[in-house]
Order: sequence, then structure tokens, then C-alpha cells
Amino acid sequence: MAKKTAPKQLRLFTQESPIIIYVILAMCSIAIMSYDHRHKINVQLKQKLAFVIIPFHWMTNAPYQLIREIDYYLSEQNKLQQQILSLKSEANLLQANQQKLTLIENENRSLRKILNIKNLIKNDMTIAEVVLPSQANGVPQLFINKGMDDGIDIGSPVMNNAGLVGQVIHVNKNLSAVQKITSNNFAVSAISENGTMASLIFGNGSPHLVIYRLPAYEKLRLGDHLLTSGLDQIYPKGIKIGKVIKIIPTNNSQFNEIIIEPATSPQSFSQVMVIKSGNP
Amino acid sequence: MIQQKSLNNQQKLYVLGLFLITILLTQISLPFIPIGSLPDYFIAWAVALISINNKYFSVMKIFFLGLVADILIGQLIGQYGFTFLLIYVLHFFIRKMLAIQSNGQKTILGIILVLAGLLIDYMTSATYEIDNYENSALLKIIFTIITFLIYRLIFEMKLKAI
Repeated sequence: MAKKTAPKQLRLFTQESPIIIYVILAMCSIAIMSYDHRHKINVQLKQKLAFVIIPFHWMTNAPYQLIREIDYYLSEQNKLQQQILSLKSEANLLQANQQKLTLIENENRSLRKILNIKNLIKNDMTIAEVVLPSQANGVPQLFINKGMDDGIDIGSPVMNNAGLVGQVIHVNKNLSAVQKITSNNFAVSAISENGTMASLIFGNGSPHLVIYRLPAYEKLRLGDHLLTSGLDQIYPKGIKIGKVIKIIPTNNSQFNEIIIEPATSPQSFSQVMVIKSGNP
Repeated sequence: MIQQKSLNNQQKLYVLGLFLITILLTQISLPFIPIGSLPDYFIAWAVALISINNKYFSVMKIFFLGLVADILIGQLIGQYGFTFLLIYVLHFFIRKMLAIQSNGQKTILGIILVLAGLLIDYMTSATYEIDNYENSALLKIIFTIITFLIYRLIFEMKLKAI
């Protein structure tokens, strides 16, 4: 007589498996991600928990600081003296230029007053140093060693002597994160140097900036420099953004795509200037 | 229900110590390796921990550690939590359905889990930076697999030896 056997089951279903827990946790994490993406709770939490991550930042910076200090002590005295001399002469030159600029600025202010134009130029700046880490988990980032204590707010524009660097996006007590102009979702209002063309420039994560649809009648040529227009009331007028390196015709003959090389590159600076927000 | 084997204090300390070292590693740029190609240390850490024996650490603990990683260094809260969870679930189902016994099989399973983890991480990423994934995705995969193998070696030596 044939022996009766129980129907064979897959091993997966023979035990009590915690599938419900997995599903609940997966739904929870998707809900948290959606909520965070919409309400940016990550930013607030990171600000509150900055004291946890600061030791890690310190440890990352420590070897670099040590090497720099050793290098400083080992530098020849003559070399340092020469550097001081050249810096002094440069400072003298800049002071002379500053006097001229002050004169022009005063003149400009009085003219604006006469013409009843609101003064959009912001001047109150603080100098900050770029610190490590330059990346977090494979994503490039820019940190500066100034924060809330130095009057920096979220949204403060960041520039250096070459041009616009970006905008402050996270602020802690003594540390701020800067979104670079080449980052995704970055946009700035710009005008050409001669003031004939105004448009929005976007970052797209590549090393270049782009104007997606510029009317073909706009007279923009290769090598033209673009400056901040000040219309967005975030970036002061006249900061250099970059120069046009490529004009690409689009499918629509009425528009061109403009590729712009930024005036600043991440390797080109170790110090930046932050324009304090709320400064008239 | 799965029987949870508990780790002794020294082993727990070891796992958490490696977690903290992983946070530090994520902040460090390596010379000659472009930023976009740096390994995903957290995925390597999680896969190594899960593939050693998922009875040591429950899914809740793994998920919670993922959330901690998100809060400390992540871009989006829940991203690593979700990634770790799916790696755990994938490992659970593969181990249920396939008999994985030899060391080579375990290594291949680990590599599959690393690839799955990276894929989930890309899919849930909030910032698609072109230069961040287009040119260097392959290098990132290779470096993450190497990191996973190193982590696994460390876990195997320490968690089983202690």
C-alpha cells in the first residue's frame, strides 16, 4: 500500500516568517523619506545633533591642520619675509583702490537717493575658511568654519575674489554647509556684463552652469561674462558668475542653450566671503 | 519565529565601534580616488554584518542603525534604514530558498547584496549629481565590494572569535 505523504512546502513558508514586520518597516521608512523630503526635518535634526558629528569633523581636519602647522614651522624665514613684503605691497595697492571705491560708492549712494532707488548692494561680509570634510559618503560638499555665532544665516550668499561660490544651506553654531553653484537645483538671476541680457542660470550637478532656453535674439557671444543681477534680492548685483563657453541650438529655432563655465572652481579657493543676510 | 542569539557586551561594542569608524570613514576623501567613486562604507558594513549571521542582529536593530546613519550623515532620513531593511530581507529570503554553505557562495551572496544595496541607494537618492554617478559608478561598486570583503573579514575574525 502506498505511503501517504504530506504536500511538500517551500522552506520559506514552513516557519513563521516576520514578513509583516518587514512590510511595516518598509512602509515606515518610505513614509519617513517622503515626509523628510517635503518638510526637511533632516536639516533641523542635524542642527540639533551637531555636537555628535563635530568630533568626527574635528578628527577629519586634525591631520590636515597638523601637516599645515608643521609645514608653516618648517618654512624658511626668508620665504616668509618675502611673502610678507609682497602681501604688504598688495595690501597698499588694495587700500588705494578701496579709497577710490569708497568715493564711487558714496557717489552712487547719493545718486540712488536722489533718484529714489532702493539700495540693493549688501556689503557686510565675513571671511570664512573652507574646512574638511570635502565629501560625505561620496557626495561632494563644502563646509566653512563660520556659523550662527558669526551672523551667518541660511541663504547667505558665498563668494570669493574670483566670483560667486554658492549659498549657505545649513548653519550650525560654528560651521556652515554651502551649496555650490554647480549643484543640482541651484539657480541665480544673471545679467550680461553690458547689461543687455537677463536670464536665470541653473546648476545641474555637472561642472558647468546652464541657461536652458535663451531667446535666440539675445546677443550673447562666446567668452561673454555673466554677473549676478541682484533681482532675486539674495545675491548682490555684480558678482561674477562665469563666462559663456558654448551656445547650443535647441530643437526650437527660437531658443539656444547656453553653457557657462563658472568663475570659481572648488579647487580654486580655501577662503570665501559670506555676505551676511538681512543686510540692506 | 527566529531565535535571536544575543551577542556579548564585547561583541556589541565591537560592532558599534566599527559603526563609529564607518561614520569617520565616510568623511574622509582618499587620494587618487574621485569623490563620486568612494565606496559606500555603510552598505559594506551592513552587508558584512548581515551576511555573517542575521540572527545576531534583529531587523529592528539594523533598521534603527540605518536611521542613525541617516540622521548623522545621510541626505534623507530613512534612506539607509530602507536600504538596510531591503538588504536584510533579501538576505533572509535567499538564505531560506537556497542552501548557501561554502565560503565562496557566501561571498557571492554578499556581492549580490552590495549591488542590491547600491541600486536601492541610487534609486532613493535625492540628489542626482551627474558627475557623481555617471563616470564613476563602476569604480564605486568595485571599491564598495572590496570594503565589504574587508569588513567581512574583520567581523568573521572578531564576532566568531570572541
